[in-house]
Amino acid sequence: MFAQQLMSGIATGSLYALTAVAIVLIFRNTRTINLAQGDFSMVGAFMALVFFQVLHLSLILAFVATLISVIVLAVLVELLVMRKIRNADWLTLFTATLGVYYILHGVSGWIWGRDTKSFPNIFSVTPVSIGGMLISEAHVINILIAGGIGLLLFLFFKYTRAGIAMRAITDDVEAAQLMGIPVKFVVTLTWAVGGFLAAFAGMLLAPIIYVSPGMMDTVLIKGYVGAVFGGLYSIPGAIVGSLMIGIAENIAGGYLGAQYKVTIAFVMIVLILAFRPRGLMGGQARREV
Amino acid sequence: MANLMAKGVSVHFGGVRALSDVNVEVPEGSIIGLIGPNGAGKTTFFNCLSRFLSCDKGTITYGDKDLRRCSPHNIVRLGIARTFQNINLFKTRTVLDNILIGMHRHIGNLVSATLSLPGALRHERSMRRRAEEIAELLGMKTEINEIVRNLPYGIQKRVEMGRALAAEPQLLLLDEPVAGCNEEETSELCKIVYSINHDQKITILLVEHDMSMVMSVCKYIYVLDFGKNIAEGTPAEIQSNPAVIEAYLGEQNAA
Amino acid sequence: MAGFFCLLLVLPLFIQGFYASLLTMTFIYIIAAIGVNILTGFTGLVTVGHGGFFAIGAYTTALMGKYLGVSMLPGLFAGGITAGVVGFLLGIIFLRLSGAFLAIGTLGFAFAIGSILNNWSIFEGREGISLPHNSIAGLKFGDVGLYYFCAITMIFLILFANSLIKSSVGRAFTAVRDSERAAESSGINLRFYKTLSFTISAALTGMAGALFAHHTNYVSSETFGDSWLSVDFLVAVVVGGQASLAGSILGGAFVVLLPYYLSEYRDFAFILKGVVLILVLLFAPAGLSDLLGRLYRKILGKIVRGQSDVSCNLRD
Repeated sequence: MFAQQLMSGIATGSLYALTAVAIVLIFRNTRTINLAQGDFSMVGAFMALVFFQVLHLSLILAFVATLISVIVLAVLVELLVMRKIRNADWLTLFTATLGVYYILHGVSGWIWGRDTKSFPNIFSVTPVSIGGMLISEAHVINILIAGGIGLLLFLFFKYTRAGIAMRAITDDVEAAQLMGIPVKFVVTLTWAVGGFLAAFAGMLLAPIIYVSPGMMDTVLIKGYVGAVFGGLYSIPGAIVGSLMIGIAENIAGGYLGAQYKVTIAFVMIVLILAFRPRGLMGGQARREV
Repeated sequence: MANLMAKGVSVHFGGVRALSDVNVEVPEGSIIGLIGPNGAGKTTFFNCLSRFLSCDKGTITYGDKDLRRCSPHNIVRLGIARTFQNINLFKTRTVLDNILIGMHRHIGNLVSATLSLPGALRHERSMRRRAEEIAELLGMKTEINEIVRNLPYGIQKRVEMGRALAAEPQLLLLDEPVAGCNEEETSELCKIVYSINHDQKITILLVEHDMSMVMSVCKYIYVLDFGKNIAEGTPAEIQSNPAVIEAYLGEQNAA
Repeated sequence: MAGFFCLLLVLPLFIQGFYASLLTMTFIYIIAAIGVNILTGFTGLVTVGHGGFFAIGAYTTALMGKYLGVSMLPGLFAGGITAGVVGFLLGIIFLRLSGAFLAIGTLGFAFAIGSILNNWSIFEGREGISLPHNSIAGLKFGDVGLYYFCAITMIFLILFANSLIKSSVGRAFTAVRDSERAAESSGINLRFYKTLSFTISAALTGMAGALFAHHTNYVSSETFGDSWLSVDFLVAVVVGGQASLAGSILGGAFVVLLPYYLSEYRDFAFILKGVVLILVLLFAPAGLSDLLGRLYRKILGKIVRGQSDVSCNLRD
């Protein structure tokens, strides 16, 4: 029973991690707490429905088309809005993404309506037995896909020029600029990676939480918990944090009742922030003069 | 007598020793200089005194108070005010505002202030008058309603001094008050520092990179290099001290 | 400012009950926005969680009305005090946080309040709690009566906030915002003033919440359980102008009146809100109050040509 809850916790947690990692990536390269991250996923879920059910594209084709449209959306947001205010204080950047959030919510509600729509189960929910534990196939696939994306990101940051440039900007923008890294382009690329992660999060979550303009609101909060766990800076920290919240809420949901799931997210935010203001796996803040 | 005594002060950042066993004494009413080449640990020592840093070892006392037990804002309440080497002002505010914020120690009754009761308004008026006096003393009366950001560097340095003076301290810690100033501004500030000490009877500890200023205003000087005391004495003694000359020559050669 | 207040007091003579009710809602948002502005605009601590304090104020007066039969005026104060106490505690818990971390922490707070309202039986979740008829000392209040009650409360709180920010306490708040280091070396106790700002700000927003409960005569987790309120208050402050009371008035009006006039096109209202928000950030980053202030000075400068040094107090 416990092990099973642990597994499904990891499965949900790994989906939260997609959002959390995107939040960290965008924050550390642009100082922007992206409130629209969840809505990128939401738009992705609607797009997937359109490609899959209205246009009757094949699964793979619908998938690729969704991926491209969400990346384009994220890049447009960067080019049309965020780039124009990139030197402003963080509150301005934050409220600008709030503006994007309003617009995306409004546009999706306008086009697709506010009703919740079901999303076809791409993967079967029939339980498979792994080591004596029964877990649904969808859970296993979610973990595998999220893990695969994690590995992909790791390789991207370690071996590709674009990935290394993104890390260089995180460490020191000015030094990166002096080294001839095209900072503006890399920032756009950061948003594109955010869109890439959002598309996956949207498509994998849609069968579980259904599709509606507000579908990602609570997921976004859990993404923040994960991101804060890594001090809004560390990607491994964000992943661990997201897994922990997935596990914590599944176990709390199992033993205390489902309504305590959201409460757990908050309790974790408060505990982390109250005792380690820079996150558990973020760097130690030092007072300097 | 409220003397400032720092004994055996040591600080290290990670593996780097920033200060080791530094001793400085500032008797009440005096004007003491603390000099040393770049990176000698002057500012680090200052930050220990004003509690922005904790020292790993040593004692710092002011009168009978142990400064290591105070938080930065409590230091002001003991009558110690400081300035910063790289100006630390409220740059988008006026000179007057900056001085008024410096008077925070004399805020009076919070509730009365918040509700603008008559007593608080009277207090506010008297604080404004006092702020104008300070501005006049520092020769920036005409700039009192200017936004700090728009003022020349030399004046900003004075605003910083004004903010510190507004707390009506008994001991003033000045961190490189003439750094970045031209010759005219420097001699102007020398006069001001002298008059603060001489006319207002405020004890001063002056950290300065610029030798000429220290030599002209300080009665007694401590010299730091690589986080250690290397010499102390009157300006004349310091000027002829071979260790000091070497420390400064070494720096010139490096530059 | 005095003219504005007088206008508010004679306005009900000329407008219908329905518009009085809409304006009452605007006053409530203005009070909440001023609360947020004290913390975010003046003290520099960004909050995305004041919907939580709004809810605390509303439920305090609702529960007191339901179980103790307490009327509006004590309910208003009780709502303010309860929110203030919770604000004080949250201020202490989040003392070491700033910037984005504090924003996320406060957002979490608002979500937690929502989850408590949904799950603890005393708050009656989506069923909600109906309030007794609005009255003070046995005197029943209609729409216009409530209009005056809220208008007067708002005027008092604006005067209070104005006096606060001009006092040495207000100076200490802005000092904390502009440079913690310089504030500390001026003898300002960061912990004390941050917590004080949190408390006052939460209390004001809590009072707004109490008024809101009396305005709708009904509270439920449907209204108070989501984060829109918190976000709306922050938008009011940013669009209106940070660290400006006139800004909070404009911003409060903006977030109430825009969706109202577009209530039949809710999605369109969302889009317009987002667009206006982004346009303000792009072209008037200091907010509407600053924009109008500059415009006003420009027009005034044209009218009184030749007369230099035209001062304008719109921001105060």
